[in-house]
Amino acid sequence: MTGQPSSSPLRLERQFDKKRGVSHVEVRPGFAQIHVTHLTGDLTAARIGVLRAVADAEVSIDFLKITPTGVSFLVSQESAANANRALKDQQVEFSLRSDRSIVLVHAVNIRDEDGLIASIMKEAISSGAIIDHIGDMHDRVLMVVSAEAAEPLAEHLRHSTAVRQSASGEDVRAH
Amino acid sequence: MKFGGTSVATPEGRLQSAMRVISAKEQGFRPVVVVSAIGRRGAPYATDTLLGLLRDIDANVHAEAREVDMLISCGEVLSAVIFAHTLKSLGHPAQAFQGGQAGIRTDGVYGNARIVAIKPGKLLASLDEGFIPVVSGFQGTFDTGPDFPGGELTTLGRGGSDTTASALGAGLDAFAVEIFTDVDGVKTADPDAVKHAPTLRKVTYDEVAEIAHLGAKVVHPRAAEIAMNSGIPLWVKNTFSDDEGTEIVSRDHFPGRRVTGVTHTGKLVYLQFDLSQADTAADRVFLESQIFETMAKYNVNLFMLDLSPSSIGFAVPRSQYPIVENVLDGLVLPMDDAPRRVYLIQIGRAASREVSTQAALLKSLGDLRRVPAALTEGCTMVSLVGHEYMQQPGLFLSVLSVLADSQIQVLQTSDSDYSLSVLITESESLRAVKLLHERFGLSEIR
Repeated sequence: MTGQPSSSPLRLERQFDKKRGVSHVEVRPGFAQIHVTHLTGDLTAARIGVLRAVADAEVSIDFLKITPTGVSFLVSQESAANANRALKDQQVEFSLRSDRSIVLVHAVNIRDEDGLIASIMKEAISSGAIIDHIGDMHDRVLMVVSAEAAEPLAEHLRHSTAVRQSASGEDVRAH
Repeated sequence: MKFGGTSVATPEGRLQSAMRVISAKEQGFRPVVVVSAIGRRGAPYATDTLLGLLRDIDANVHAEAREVDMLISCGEVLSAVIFAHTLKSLGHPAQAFQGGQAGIRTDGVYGNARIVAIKPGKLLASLDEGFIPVVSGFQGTFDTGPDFPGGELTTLGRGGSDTTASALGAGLDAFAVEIFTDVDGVKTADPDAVKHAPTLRKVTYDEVAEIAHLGAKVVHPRAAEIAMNSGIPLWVKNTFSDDEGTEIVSRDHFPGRRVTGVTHTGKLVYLQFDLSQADTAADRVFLESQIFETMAKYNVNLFMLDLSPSSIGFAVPRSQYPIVENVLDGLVLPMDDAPRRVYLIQIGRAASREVSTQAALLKSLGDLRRVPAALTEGCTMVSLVGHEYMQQPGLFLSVLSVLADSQIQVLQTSDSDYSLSVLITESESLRAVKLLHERFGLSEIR
C-alpha cells in the first residue's frame, strides 16, 4: 500500500530485479582444504566419526562434500593445525592442503539459469586451473584452488562471463 | 497489498480480501492492490488451465513463448477486473490495470522477464483521482521501440505476482508491502511435514530469501530481494485469519544467531561419475571439461556439485534428466595423443543398448575405458536455514548424525552463509524435515 502523499521524489532509476547472469567474481583467501579418503566399514558412521573429531577440536568446517570413500571440506587456515591434529588422532587417511583460496562466481538464481553453472565449470576447468573442490548455492558457484591460482582463475572467469572490474575494484557487468 | 490465487478464488475470498483493502483505505492509506490469477492448478483461469487450451488443439504444435505469455497473462487480467468490480460493488471506486498499464517495464525474456523499471504515472493519477488501483500481477511489457508504443507483453516467471507487488512498492515508495496468502506467515517448516510448525513473527530479508530459494512457497525470493534493496517493510499475512503474520525486516532490525527453519525442495536426479579410470591428470581434466561442456550445451541446470580426487558429481532436475541421459549415456570421448585410448560414459549399473553398441564398435580402435556414473533417481534437497549460525563447529555433525540415526542416507551436501542443504531420497524428505525441526528446537521458536 502507499502511505500518505509524500513530497519525496519517486525512485525511477533504481534496480528492481537483479540482473541475470554473473554479477561478480570474488576471491576469498585463507583456507585449508582437507580430503579424507579410504574410510572403511560403515561409511556413514566413519564419516560422522571424522566430523565428530573435527567438531570436538572446536573447528568449524565449510563446504562439506561427501566423496566415494570419505569426505572433503574446508577449514580456516588458522584452524588447520587443530584439524590436522584431530584427524591424525582419528587415524584416518587424509590430505591437508594449506593456502587455499575460494573463487566465488555470483549470479542470482544461478541454479535456475539454464546451463550457467555447467558453463562456468567448463570455463574454470579448461582454464588449466587445478581445482581441489567445488560447490554451489542458489546464488553462487565456488571453486577452491591454491592461493596463487585464485586471482588468475577469477580474472579468466570475469573475462569469459563478461564481468569487468571498476576502478574501485568492484565487479561490473559489461553488458 | 497482494492477494494470491487462493485469496481471490471464490466470491467469499474476494470479499474478505476486498474488506482488507477497504480497511487499509479507512485507516488513511492509499492502497494499491496486486492480484494473482483466480485459483491454483486446475481452476478455470489458472495458468495450467489456460495452457491446456493450446494443448487441447494440438500438443505437438510448438507454442511461441510470446503467445504463451499473452495467453497466461489473461488469468491475472481477469482477476484484476473482477477484484476491481468487487471493490466497486462495495462502494469503493477502483480501476483495473494490466502490468504494462501500471508501468511495469521488463527485459525481453518471455516467460521469465525481469523488471527493469517502474513508471508509476498512471497509478499515481488513479490514486489522485480517488480510485483503488488493482494491478494484474505476474506481467509487464518491454519496450520494442517507437514503432510499437505499447511494447510487448511479458510474464515474470515463478513468483511473478509477489515480484510485481514488491516492485510496485519500491516504485511507489510504499509504506509497506503486504503479501496476503492462505497461511499465517512464514513458518519454520512445511506444515505437511510439521503439522504445528510455528509462524515466525519476524525474519530478515536474507533469511526469507534463503528460505524461499530453498523451497518455502510463502513469498518469492525475488520479492524479498526487491523489498530488501529498497528498504521497504514486507509482511506476509493470512487473508482468512487475524493472525499478525510475519514481518520481514533488515538485519539491523533483527540481529542475533538462530536457526530459522527447515525447507525441502526439488525433484532431482543425482549422478556421480567415477573418473578413476582416467589415464592421466590431463585425461581427467578433459573428461570433467567435456561433461560440463555437454551439460552447458544442452542448458542443463546443475545442483549440489562435488569433486573429489576420483569423481565428479551433480544433481539435475528430474525434468531435465532425459536430456542428460540422452546426451551423456554412451558419449564417446577419444583422446588424440598416443597411446590411443577412448573413454565411454555409462550411466547406471547396467550398460544401455547405446553403451553396449558403442563399446562393441570401439573395441577394435584401442584402449576403451568406461566412465561409469552412479545414478540415484528420486532425490530432493532438505535445508536448514539460519542466521549467523552456519559457522557453528559441529553443525554438519548434528545434521548428518540426526539423519543417520534414523537411517536416512545423505547423498551430498551444500552450504552457504545462511543454509546447509542435504540431498536425500524424496520419500524421506518429510521425515527429514521433521527430524531436523525437532533437533534444532524449532517448535519453540517465536
